Amino acid sequence: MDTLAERLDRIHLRVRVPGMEIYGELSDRRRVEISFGEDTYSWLSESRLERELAVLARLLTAGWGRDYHRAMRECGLDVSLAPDLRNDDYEQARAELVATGASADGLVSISAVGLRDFSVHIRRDTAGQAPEQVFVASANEAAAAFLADHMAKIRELQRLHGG
Amino acid sequence: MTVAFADDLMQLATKIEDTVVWMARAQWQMQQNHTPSSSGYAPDFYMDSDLVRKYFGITDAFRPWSLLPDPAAFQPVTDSLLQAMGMLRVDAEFGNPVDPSDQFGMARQEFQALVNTDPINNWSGATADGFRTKFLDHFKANTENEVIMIAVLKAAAEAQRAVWFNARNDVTTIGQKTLAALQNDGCDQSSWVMAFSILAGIASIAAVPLTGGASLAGLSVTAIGAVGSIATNAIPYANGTDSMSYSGSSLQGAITAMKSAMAGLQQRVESGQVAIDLSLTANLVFLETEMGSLFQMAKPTLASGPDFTPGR
Repeated sequence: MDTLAERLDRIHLRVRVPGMEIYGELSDRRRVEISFGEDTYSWLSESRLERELAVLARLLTAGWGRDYHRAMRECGLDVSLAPDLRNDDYEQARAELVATGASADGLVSISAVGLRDFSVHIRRDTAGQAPEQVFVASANEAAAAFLADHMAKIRELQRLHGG
Repeated sequence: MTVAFADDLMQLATKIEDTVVWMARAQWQMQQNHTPSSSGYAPDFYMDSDLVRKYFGITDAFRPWSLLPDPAAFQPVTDSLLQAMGMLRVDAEFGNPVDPSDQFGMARQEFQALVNTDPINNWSGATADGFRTKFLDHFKANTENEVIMIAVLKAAAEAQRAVWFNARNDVTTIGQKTLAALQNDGCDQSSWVMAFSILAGIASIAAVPLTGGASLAGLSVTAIGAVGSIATNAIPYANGTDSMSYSGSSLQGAITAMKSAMAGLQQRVESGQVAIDLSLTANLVFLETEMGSLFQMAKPTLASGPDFTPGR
């Protein structure tokens, strides 16, 4: 039987913003890679990009949740917890958890409350829009930083709420 | 088989321990690079793998379980009991009432041959009638009672085998779920339900209380697994599922859950032993009281008259 670690390692998601050529991939648990179809990036304003990337983040989160729960179930862990097992304090704290992450160059930053309500911020530059390659690298970096922050806070919550 | 089980279990234990060592170290390092608010999060010994191994004692906790007896070792015992049952069977219609699925060979022909021989059938008179009603008619019932006795012993051996078999499975499941709880690299809490199989596994075979049966004019023992009998009551959780929930998302929490599940398993192994013991003891008491009617035959009156003493 595969261990949970092996199953989580194998999760590989590819999502697409509906109606747009904006793609997102999630692999190795925390690695996010976004990409744009031809002539997509340059036609999008920063504010539009921010909205669409938040949609992408939500799609990736939903996909991860689905595959993660399946892996948990297959390894004998419970997914929907009975009230006596559920730690409501933890669930509450998790729902209110604010995580943030930004690229080192500060171009892209991401934040979310309880892995919902994503907001993506792109720094406006007087010199105009960053080249696609630069933007993609910054966005991926921001996503990695966001996930690292979120998980570190999750671990801390799990420790605080015992069990 | 034993070697494979012990190796597999200890391999799983090592995997859990290595994961714990790795996690402890990662937590300690994170604390070094991280916020002061999380002080106390990872004690300093978390950086020392030997101390972490000693502190959590995971392989130590699994080692005694790896020594569980091999269920396969019960095979020769049950085989020879089955053989003994076969040697006592005089009626092809008679099966093992404790476990009707048992196949224990053809009925022995000698008894039927004796009953149906002309000298016996043609023998008449009071002595002949006495021989037939007090000996031949009872012979069949007595051997059947002996078969039932052996069947009860066999059921006890099978129950014991089931205890070890299920204990092996359950402790492996505990290990697997603990590993999964540790590896749960997501936001959800690690909770798991442990369905202990030990007591459910022996309920049907250990609960074989004997009672005087109605067959053969009350002479035969009938073995029944009657609901509400002493033996069934002696087995907790015999009916329904015996499961417990554990949760532990943190390093400490997951290992604490593992150890309490192991304690639960140990308790069930012990209850299983007690249940088998009680079931056998109850049957023994019944047998001792009913010995005369179950296994002994009244001496046939061979001749009337005060001068004649049978056996002289």
